[in-house]
Amino acid sequence: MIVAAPKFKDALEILAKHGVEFVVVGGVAAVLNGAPLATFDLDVVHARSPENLARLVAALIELEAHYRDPGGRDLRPELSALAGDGHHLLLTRCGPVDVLGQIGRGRQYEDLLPDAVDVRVGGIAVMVLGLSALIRTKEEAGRDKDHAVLSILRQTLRESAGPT
Amino acid sequence: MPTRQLAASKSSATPHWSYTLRMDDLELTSLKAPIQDDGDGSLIRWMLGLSPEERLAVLQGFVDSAMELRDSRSP
Repeated sequence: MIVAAPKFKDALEILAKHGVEFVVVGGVAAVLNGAPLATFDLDVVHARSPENLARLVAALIELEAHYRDPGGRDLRPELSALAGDGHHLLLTRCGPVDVLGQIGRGRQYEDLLPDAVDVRVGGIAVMVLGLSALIRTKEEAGRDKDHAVLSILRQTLRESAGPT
Repeated sequence: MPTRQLAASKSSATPHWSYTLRMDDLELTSLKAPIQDDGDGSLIRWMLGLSPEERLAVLQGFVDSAMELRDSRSP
């Protein structure tokens, strides 16, 4: 399976161009907050209003998104599926993009928005989950891969707060 | 003063940012770091000194390098 090289900024620009309401979470959010981490996928939690789902589907079509299917089938994300809580692990022409209905303990777009910060990337404004909330959701998820980065995230939060 | 290399490709309609970490980027922050710093502290402070767009460019540079390595190893 050939995986397109991740192009984070291009993916964000396409989502923004279609007016998709989303919050960046995961590794890219950690990096945008100043954590020195590496990741190959873009994780976003999207608003699940009917209007936003339609915009998201349009953006995913432009991104040529399809599911990361081990069987190699060409499965495209559909609006009805994106309306649910699930995680949609996609490959796009801008690399892997995970479209998430919720993260942590059932935190949806509306739950995350108060803890998100408005970040300028190029000419676009992107909502990015703040460090404290990012740490909380990773603690809640509790997977090995989440625990692996918690130390760096906590240290970044301390450093960003300045000298105590 | 730390110097940064942040450049957009002129050959593409949509600029792709690239970022190269130079040793002198870390020099000053490393000098300020406490002796018991395990290395993450100076790197974190260096990242925090960048703009979000520059941080994303650092990540993109890492990914591009990894993909280049992958492609060079492909038969």
